[in-house]
Amino acid sequence: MNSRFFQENAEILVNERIARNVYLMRLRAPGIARSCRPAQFVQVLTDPGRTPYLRRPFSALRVDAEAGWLEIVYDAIGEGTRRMAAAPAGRHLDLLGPLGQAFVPPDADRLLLVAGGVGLVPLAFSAWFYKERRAEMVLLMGAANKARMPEMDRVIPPDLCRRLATDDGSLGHRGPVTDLIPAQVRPGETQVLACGPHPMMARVAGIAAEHRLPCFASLENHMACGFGACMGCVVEYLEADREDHRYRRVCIEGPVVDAHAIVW
Amino acid sequence: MDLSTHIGGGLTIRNPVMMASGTIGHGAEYAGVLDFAQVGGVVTKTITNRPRAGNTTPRTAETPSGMLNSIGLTNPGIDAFIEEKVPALQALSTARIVSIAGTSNDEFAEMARRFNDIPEIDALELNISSPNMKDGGQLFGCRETAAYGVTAAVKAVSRLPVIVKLTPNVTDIAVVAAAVEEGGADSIALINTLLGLAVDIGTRRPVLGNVTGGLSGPAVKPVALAMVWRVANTVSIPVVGMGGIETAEDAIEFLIVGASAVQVGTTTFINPWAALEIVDGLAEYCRSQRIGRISDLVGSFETGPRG
Repeated sequence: MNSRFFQENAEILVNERIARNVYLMRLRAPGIARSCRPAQFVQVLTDPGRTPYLRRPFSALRVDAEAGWLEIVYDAIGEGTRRMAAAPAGRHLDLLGPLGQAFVPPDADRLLLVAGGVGLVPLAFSAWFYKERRAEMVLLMGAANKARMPEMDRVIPPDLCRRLATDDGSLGHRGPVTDLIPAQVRPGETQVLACGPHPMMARVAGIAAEHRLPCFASLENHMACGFGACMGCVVEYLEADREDHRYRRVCIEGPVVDAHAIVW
Repeated sequence: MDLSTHIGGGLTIRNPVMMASGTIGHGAEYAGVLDFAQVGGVVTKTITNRPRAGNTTPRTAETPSGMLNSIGLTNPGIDAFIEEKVPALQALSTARIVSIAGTSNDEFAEMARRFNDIPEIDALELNISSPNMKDGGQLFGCRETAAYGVTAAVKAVSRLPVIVKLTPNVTDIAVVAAAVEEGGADSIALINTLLGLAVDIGTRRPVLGNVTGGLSGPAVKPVALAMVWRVANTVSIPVVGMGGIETAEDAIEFLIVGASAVQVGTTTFINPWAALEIVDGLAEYCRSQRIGRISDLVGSFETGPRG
């Protein structure tokens, strides 16, 4: 497999809070913006002084190839993301990308996008990018509470059908987002794409299996390189033709995987 | 200006900057990303006799100025490597070095023999130093008799220059280096990663699935430099230094204390083009210091009284 990606020193154009601790950043990166596709990600050097030492991966939310920008969304939870949250527009960030395999929505009359928190990002990119398929898509979006729910108008297309859920019921359905799945299923016509916290995705995979639905998951993992060289970010598969294929890399074979094929 | 350097067994490479095993796959996967014709050499991810899945996850953990890894030598095994990976490796216009690891002297020797008839492979690097291989690896590198034995066994059958890569997790690395030289090694590479541990205080469990891992990155550079200096003063074969090299200045330090070449590893994860930038930086340093041949820099370390 030949990898093609590049480095860009990207100017921060916008860096705004869209929920409690959640930020949307728009960066001028014309090369990456031209070729980045849904589910692909960029590796961000959050601190030129290398503390944190490694880059951090962020899924792309949206690109404008003509204007030459891409947007990412991040949860400010660690040292690197807190540095990003404090960075003013005009500052530059070193990016590597685009990385990972792009997600092409499979043939289906109905595509359920099941998101938890910032897991929304690659699913939203699919909805932005595959405009002609948007009518087939339904977004089920979960967050801990209303304050942690991103402003939807900032992140998803206005005409994307959506149902919201919060753990405490402060917005939309009260309970896990996975509660919303059964009512949306049309057997034989529905496929599922999930992204969010690991336990949530595992639950989505289980529900999809019960309903016999094809299901894909866009995985997140700790990464050293992000371009396949370190073999660190692997996920275990249920079956492998050869021992060295038992674990496969999230960064280069993924991030989207067949949710029924991996060990959750 | 002459950046070429001899790394043992008659192998001269175009410049002293090589890409370290385990940090750039089998090289060819990245031919579209970086120009291998500009680096001195590339060392493949370690190959074992049979395919290996590698260790359970998580496999990496960031630590101050570095990282721990416990990948566990994931590789397709020697048969699939030769069939699927070697053709693309042969096409790279740089020194092509295959890293191998076995579980016995016989297995090391048998693997080494397989490369005798394969053209365009320039050297073997014996990984007797992985902290992530329970049935081999460091077991050979920790005892000088075992290190001598495996080196001699490979040298008895191989037509290729043999580089032996040592572990720092020993009482005295110079003793192991001397044994490897006596076993007939053409050069010595050091250091492999330092055994390390990270603890999750929330769960009171190890961060890594394999409990311990190998530490690399700038955090280990002073340790590596001291060991390279000591080994270079002990053996008369070339030494290839590595450990935390990120810049040309780092590489120059290793050359000054006696390394004939260096390997760049972990920093490639952050900057895939770091090795190329280090080559440029070496050339610039030689120009500014009026050094005609980089080999004149090797071992030029002065530890006598300060004038």
